Amino acid sequence: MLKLQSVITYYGRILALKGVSLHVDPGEIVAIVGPNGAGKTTTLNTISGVIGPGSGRIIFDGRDVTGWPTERLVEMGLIQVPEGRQLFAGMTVYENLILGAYRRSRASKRSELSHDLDRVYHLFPILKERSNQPAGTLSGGEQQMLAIGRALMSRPKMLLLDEPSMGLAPLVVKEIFKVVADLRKEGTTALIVEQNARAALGIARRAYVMETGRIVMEGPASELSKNPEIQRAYLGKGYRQILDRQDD
Amino acid sequence: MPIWNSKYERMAREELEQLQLERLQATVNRAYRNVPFYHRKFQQLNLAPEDVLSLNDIVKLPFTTKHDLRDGYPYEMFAVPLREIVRIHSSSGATTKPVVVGYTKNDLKHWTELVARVMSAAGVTKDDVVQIAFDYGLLTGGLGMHYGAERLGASVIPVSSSNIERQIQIMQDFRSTVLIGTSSYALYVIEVMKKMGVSPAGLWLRVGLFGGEPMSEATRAEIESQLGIIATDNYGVSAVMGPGIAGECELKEGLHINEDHFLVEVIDPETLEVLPEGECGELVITTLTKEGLPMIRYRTRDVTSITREPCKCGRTTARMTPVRKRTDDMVIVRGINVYPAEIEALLYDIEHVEPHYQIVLDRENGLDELTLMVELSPEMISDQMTKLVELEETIKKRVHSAVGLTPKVKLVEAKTLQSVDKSNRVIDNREKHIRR
Repeated sequence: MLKLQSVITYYGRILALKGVSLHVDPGEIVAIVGPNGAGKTTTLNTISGVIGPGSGRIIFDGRDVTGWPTERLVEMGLIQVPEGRQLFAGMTVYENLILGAYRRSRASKRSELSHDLDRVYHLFPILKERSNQPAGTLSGGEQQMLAIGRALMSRPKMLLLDEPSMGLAPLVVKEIFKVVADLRKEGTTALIVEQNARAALGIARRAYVMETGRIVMEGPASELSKNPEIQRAYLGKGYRQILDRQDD
Repeated sequence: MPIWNSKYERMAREELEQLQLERLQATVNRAYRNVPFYHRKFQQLNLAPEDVLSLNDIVKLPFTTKHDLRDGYPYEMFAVPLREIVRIHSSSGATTKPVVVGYTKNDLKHWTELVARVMSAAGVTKDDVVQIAFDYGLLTGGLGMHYGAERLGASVIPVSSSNIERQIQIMQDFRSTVLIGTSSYALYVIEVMKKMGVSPAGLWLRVGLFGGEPMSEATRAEIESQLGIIATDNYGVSAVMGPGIAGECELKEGLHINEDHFLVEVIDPETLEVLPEGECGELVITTLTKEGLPMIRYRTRDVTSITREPCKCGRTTARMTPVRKRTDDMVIVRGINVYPAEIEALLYDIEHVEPHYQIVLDRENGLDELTLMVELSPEMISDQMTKLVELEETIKKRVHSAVGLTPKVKLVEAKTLQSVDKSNRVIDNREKHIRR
């Protein structure tokens, strides 16, 4: 579905990505984990066309899309759920969701729209309860759900999720990831970038470990989550308990 | 026969190359960061990990030799702290430092998977009774094959290679269907079976996986006809992992290389240039997933050629021709690697002999024999039999502790071996014993 080959990206004058290669197969949820500043978000922004790559190749859905603008990628069905949500705070939950379908709204029928809306409400029942509330009044977790729901309304071929757990309480993180796990069962293709390595490795099939603009490890998420080096280095300050000896 | 891991063994070339690129970059990044040896080498060559932007860029990278590994004895080349290493194997070696290989949990998991693939390709299933006649211990053959066979779900008998009569007894009584070991050991089994009056018809064997040493087509034919089995050739390098790097499928048209874990090149051993596909040269291996001891461009000294033509069995992995030649003078005797230089070094330390020597390899009753001809010092033209016998014993012991093999020793008069040079240092008569 998606392939990156030796992508090099500059962030201003800083070399942020030093030759990143990765791939996501159809129906697969893949995670990029690593510490702050490793280049995870830059990788997503390069894929979604927010930043142009310095060199390398990006192939999406069989086409070389290197350097394409975001709008064209969105048209192809590559949808990013941005870090920090970026919702329309003054509009209702319902209006935000309908806006998500904008990409295909002209072509899509009413029945399809309501079907998709039902699906999102089914995944996130809380959004149905709050459908007439302005998005700005939602809690952080609810806003994240709305951001994902809005992306799903566009019927994406592939989702890019940027730090969905950012700034959320552990219980809410759990809830968000439960939904991502549901999406996986539905066969959604997604690339998810997370500092919360434990949560991300728990739902992804495969993962890449990033460090200072480079990928240092790749493998099945189940394998990486047991790797002591990753447990020590990438689970972050809030997860010191991992340092304690554990059997497997 | 089923393919153990269809996803990776039948991967389209384009997909495989994407995976290889990702894993090569990750391996280079880790080696550069964690192994001082590679960090130094990269700096000497003015290279950074980000200079590897395609698979072809591998030619920019430095080679790793056995010598480098010995210099790093025992743990210098490891890329993870020792507490993450769960298994350690080592080559033998007393005069030179041995090569020590450490495996993380993940490394063992991969190793097991790859051996299971190779065994499955040879036709082994969970219904088989697998008799392993490789030595268990520091060398990788025994345990390596063992875990793969267990992973496959077969019934595994860890007999090891001692006591041949017992080996044959077990083969009969336990109804072993698969024999795993060196091909020379299989020849030995055949000889002893004849002496014991055991007919192949009384055995249940159907498949043999052989490795650890070159197996000529004549040897293969002999084993197949005498034991009534399919014999596949398998390839492993202890310094890289052990068995499981490559193995033949039942079609026996080259050894399938597990390319999702190893990137292979064939080079000209003189110019070090990469040779085009199909040309014969030295095999060079880069590990793509190893954590404990990642290896960049390891020079195996084994001569082979590679084809990427998909096999009729359905696997798309590259295949290498069986290794029957080396680019150095190492010989393999009963599955043990013997370097003449190592023997030479040890002779220097023994009084009353000169470091002039010749190695003669024979096969007696199916068993490899190494005869070491050694020149006596001029002052030792002695007729004191006891002294000579003592000297012989000393040499035998020293060779055994260094190489792991007891030679026959023949002491000869001074100056009789002076004409021995590189071309006739080793006389190999083993294949002469095979009648076709």
